[in-house]
Amino acid sequence: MNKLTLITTLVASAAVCLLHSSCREKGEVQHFRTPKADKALQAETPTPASPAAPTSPAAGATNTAPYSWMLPDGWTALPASGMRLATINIPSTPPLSASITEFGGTLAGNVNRWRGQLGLAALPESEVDATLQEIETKLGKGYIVSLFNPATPKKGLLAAIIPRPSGRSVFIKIPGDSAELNKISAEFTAFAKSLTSAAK
Amino acid sequence: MSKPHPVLRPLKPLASAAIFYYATLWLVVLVVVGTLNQKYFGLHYSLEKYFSAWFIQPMDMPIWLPAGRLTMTVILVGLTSKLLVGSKWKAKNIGINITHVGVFLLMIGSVITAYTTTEGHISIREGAESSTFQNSHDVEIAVTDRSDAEYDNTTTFTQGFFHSDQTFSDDAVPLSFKVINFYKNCSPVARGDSDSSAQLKGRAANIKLKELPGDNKDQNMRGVEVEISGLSADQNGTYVFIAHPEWKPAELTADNGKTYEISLRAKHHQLPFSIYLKDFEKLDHAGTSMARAYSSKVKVTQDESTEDIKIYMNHPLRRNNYTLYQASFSQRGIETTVLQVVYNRGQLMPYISVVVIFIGLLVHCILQVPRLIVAAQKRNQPRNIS
Repeated sequence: MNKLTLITTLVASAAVCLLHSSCREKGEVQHFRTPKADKALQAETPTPASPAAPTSPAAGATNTAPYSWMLPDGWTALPASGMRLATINIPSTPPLSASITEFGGTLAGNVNRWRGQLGLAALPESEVDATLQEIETKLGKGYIVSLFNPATPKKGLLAAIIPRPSGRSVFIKIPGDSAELNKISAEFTAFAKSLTSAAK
Repeated sequence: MSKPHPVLRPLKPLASAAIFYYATLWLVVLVVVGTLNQKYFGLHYSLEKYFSAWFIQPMDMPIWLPAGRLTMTVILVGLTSKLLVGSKWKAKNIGINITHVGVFLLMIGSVITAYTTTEGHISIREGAESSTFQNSHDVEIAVTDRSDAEYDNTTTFTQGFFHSDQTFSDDAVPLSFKVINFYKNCSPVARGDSDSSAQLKGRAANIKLKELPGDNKDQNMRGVEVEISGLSADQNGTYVFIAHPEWKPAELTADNGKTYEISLRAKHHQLPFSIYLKDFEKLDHAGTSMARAYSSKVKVTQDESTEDIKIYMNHPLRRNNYTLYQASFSQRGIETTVLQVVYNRGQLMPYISVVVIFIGLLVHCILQVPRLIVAAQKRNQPRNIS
């Protein structure tokens, strides 16, 4: 490349950059008019994975779950990620993993959704209630859900649902082999009962 | 080669092939470095730093190296100069020149894409309708007046206002804002007693924002510290907002007695049409709950016309330079579809330029055939040995 070419290139580039850098992104004002009925739908429609929910932080702590619990021996908790408040690893063969989340939806709606995922028929609301084991947790009344399809015994579900005053519910869900889930059922119930609001 | 027009003569040095070679080599370096950087700081952060910017400062040193935009501009200027003053417009070069025009069109398309593309997503429940989509990489301050019985009126101020020397407002709301700090990724941390001040209001009294590097999974939490004035009594001051669904908006009362809900949220864009989700369908692999296929049956309404369309894999909805892809779904409670939205005015340019490049190469190939035949015949002629 000869000198003239190099100099011309540098001068032209500098001119373009100076021109562009003197222009910064301009702000824009927009106005939206939304029917009130839409807002209720928008509030509950999901968005692609958001960062873990920000909560009142302890000094220096970030992204901690708003609940605390007593872990059974050998169980370990991983911090919040994505939509999960926490992930609990449970030693078993094969290893099991519980997710702790908080969402809306009705009790029967969620149970029937899980039933559908396991290939089980949906039940009327009154019959759903009869399949649940009511427990008393430190957050209030909760329910243990134990589902398995005899046709696919390796795909079972053990879950706890704890309704909250906000209208949402805390879900603790473990998918896995039905036989393994039966073995940890008592520890899982004790774990669900220990859930309480995180210390402020 | 004929001499270029006097007006175009200054472009001659820029038509050098050396510019193209060195710039392309630098582009390869940027691609390698940017790709490695993406592993640690996420795709969006790397795109902004290495490819959408004009300069990069390696390790924040006071050295400015050309980033993607400047490098591509140099290549485009070089190619344009080559076309205008460096190309021989003779019959035997027509194929090469057409190919160069195709590459030029490709680069023009990339400029259009760089400056007009908007991406986001739209979530719609079964039986619901929506005409806005959200871009989670950009945020806006939203001020909502819920006093009307039937409608919520929201005024939004986009990121372009987030400069510490700029106060902004709008006639629709009696408040003024000035963003003190804007964080592309941050985390709320407890504010120590030494940091506190009467100027800090609401959550800002107890919480400050700590800047974080880009998240390697693009899970960035944007936040602002903003001064708000025009509020009643002693509510004027500095507030903290984070763009996250769990961070509740602040309800503040203006001097005129009206209450407004203020939040930082993903930037909303209005579509020129509305979409009503009639039915979402998910098919599972036999015996599992793993999705095999899922699709959305929608009704698209624009002006007075409506159209029933099915959106599924490899069959996006294309309309008014918008493309809506079936991206995800939710089956918590009422089924919900999540559509990826891309607006790109330059979406046809790559197709046009590839066709032009193909034509140029084909023409060049055809024009070379007689020469090749003559050259082959000469090689095959026996030599006269004297």
